[in-house]
Amino acid sequence: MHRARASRPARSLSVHLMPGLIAAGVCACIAGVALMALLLAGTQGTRQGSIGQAGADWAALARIVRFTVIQAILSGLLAMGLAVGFGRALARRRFVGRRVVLALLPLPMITPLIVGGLGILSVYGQQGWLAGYLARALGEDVVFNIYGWPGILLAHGFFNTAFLTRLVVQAYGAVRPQTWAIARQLGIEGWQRFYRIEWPLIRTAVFSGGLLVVGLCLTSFVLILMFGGGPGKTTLEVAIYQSLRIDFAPARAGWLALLQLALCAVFVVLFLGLGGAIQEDAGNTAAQPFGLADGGLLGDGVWLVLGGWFALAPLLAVALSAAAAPWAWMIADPIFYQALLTSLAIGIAAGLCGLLIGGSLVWSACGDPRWGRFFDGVGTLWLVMPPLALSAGLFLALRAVGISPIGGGPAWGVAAVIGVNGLMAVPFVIRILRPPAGRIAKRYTPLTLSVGLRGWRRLWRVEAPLLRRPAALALALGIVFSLGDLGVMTLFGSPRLQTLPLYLYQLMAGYRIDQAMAVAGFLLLLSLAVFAAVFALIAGRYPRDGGAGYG
Amino acid sequence: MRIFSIFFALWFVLTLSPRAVLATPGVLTIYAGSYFASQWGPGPQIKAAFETQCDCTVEIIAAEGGLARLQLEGEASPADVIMNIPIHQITQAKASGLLKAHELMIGNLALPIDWRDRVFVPWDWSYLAFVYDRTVIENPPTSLRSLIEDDHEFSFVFPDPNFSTTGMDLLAWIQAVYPGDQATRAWQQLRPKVRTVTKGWSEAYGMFTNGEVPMVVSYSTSPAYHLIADESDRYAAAAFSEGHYVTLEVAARTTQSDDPALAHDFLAFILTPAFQEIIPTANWSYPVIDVPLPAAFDQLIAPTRSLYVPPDQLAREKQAWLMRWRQAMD
Repeated sequence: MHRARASRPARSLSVHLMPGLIAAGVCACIAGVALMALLLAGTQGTRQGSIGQAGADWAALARIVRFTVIQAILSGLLAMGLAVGFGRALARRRFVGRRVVLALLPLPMITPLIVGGLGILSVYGQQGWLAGYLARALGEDVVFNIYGWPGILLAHGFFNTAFLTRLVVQAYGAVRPQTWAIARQLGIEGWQRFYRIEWPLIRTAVFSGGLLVVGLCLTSFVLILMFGGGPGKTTLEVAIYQSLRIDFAPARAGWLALLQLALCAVFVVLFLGLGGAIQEDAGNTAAQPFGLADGGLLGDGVWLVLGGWFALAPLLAVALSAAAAPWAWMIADPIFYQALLTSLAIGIAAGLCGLLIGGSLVWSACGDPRWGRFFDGVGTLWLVMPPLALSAGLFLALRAVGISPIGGGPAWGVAAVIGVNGLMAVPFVIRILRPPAGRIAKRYTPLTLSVGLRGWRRLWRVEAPLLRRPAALALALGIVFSLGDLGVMTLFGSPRLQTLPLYLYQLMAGYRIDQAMAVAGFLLLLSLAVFAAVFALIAGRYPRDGGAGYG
Repeated sequence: MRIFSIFFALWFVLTLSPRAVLATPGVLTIYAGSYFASQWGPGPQIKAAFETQCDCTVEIIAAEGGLARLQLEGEASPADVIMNIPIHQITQAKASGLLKAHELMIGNLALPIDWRDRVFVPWDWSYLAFVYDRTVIENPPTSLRSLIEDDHEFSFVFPDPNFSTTGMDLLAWIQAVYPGDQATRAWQQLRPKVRTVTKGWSEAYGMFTNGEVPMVVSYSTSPAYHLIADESDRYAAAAFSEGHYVTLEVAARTTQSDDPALAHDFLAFILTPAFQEIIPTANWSYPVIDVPLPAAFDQLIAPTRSLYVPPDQLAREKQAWLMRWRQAMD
């Protein structure tokens, strides 16, 4: 009876599609309502709601778009190139400290921008390590100017390469050992082996992760200002920020946000075409001896040093200045604990929210491969939804239906912060969950159908135990993203909402840079602790081998 | 672990439980910059000082965005007083109808300029200044003209005028010394000495104290922090002969405030010693009335000339200035 019902395609289709459709619907509704609210609010602003005011504005806008796109592509290419070399070397070699390096890889992406920026300057700046070393080596003062394109690429490279590297290591970890044995038997070696065998296997990870990097860089602006060296380098996000904060022209912000989404959609299509469509893992993901480590020791060494330096040196600089900073005051400050608890509570809620929405999209994408790209696309677009525009739009929408996000107490503010932070984590969640979930779906769907295991019961019995580790990673990332986020907080701020990044920025704003660095160091340690705790609670243990530890 | 999760759940529920902020009698809600509202800023002391005399509760909210935040919230805003609308936006703010006249008699202020405004009450001020690291720069320029027109080995950073009031004030300062189109040439000459333009004051000042640049655009009172808190005279402001631009911060009460009388009382309180004595060592700027200053303030530069562009002119011309700045710096 069960068996007969379970195999009816119509019923199983809805079970597969419903969660994803609901999640996509929620995403579309939130984005749509926020954008509509912005566009309709145009008449209240001091300016009318068109993108460009006059011909000059259109020309300026075209320039901004061109710069935004070019820097995003260059940053994406740089991160992808470095991540392939660094990730490959990390996957091939076993060395002391490899676990530490793998554990540190998610950190750069969640470092507060101002802290990471100062870390980058400690390494590459005028008075940085590199300049100091060169000055000593050459015996004369070296004028070191990274501002402009080098600075922008260095900064984006630092913030994004490490995460992408982790995806590449994961992709290598999922390759069957036989593949390497066969390659060796066939005498395929060196560049040939990389091009013919490895590249097709890691291409998905590189391009789907690369899409994330491009999306993040499309919306970058604090770093671009800091490292751009002058006002010539502005992105669309700057224009969105200006139209909301300076001119208060919500409609203009709405149109610019739409333009940004459209740009991202172009990249989504482009990268899907290049092989970035998220696919299921090909093989076994248990930690396996890597059968590829023959030869190329020198090359791997160079990549490890280069990649490690690039992705982790600024982090080390932050850690060093944090270690040298005063700590005792922080431990004695009750407001610090309040900020810590609020940040953790919001982070955990946002992480769960992201996991729920992303998980629903993944469930449906795997359940019905024809819709796979649609669900992946919906999840990915969140990457470039400008948080300020999103929250301002939601704010206006809530106001329009008579709910005051402020007057109703902090509840609405907290809910908005959690929701927005959760949604921002969705693109990462789907990239982490989708490959192993796809593999499981492929392998177990016929079996589960034949025993009538569907819906919640299937999720609990099949997916839950097998996806514990990737789910833990996705949740941990969602939590730490939210921990490091300041953007949304500032719009919904209330006296009760003191978070760690806000605490840090308040210290910065009051000349207390040393103390701010101590808080930054604590934030990084806290992020590592969140990873350890989430893995201990959900995955059973911290991934002993971070490389293959996703599945 | 379980105990922790229960604790978090409880905390979370408590944070979520609705509290009516709006229309609560006896609550004065103040929007301010996030530093002002923080425990290191003047906010907590000012809250305590006003609560001893008002029979009310003061809520200071870190509301970044100032005027935009108020415009976004409209009628629904719980704010009674707003303290973070920059001078270059006050004309726009008055036109929005969101603010109400203060109805105070403002006499003898200790300001280097003459302040007359029906709506806004100044609560602190300082001079804009180029702050430098004395261990790197031994002979700082003695005039803005020298800084701009002469060759120098050092470079400096400043915050983007699109995002930061400090940056906008620098624009106004340069316009005051190089009127009209002359500013284009000034910016072009300044360009090689500009290391970068950051989003906010914090990034710029962080780059300065981290040693990336030996000079930053900040305030003449910034060195007071280092003199008092760090006991260090490493950082000083360069005194410029043309005079320094006067930067001030102002407060106003809102139209939709449910207790305009209380808001009025707070604006009056701003001009009393109880408020102003907190300013020097909590906000690191000058009070707007004569109150005793810490000894370290004697070591700060004392410009003999003040430059200032009135808010209406600022509002009229800032777009043109920004355009000129962007083109010259590009």
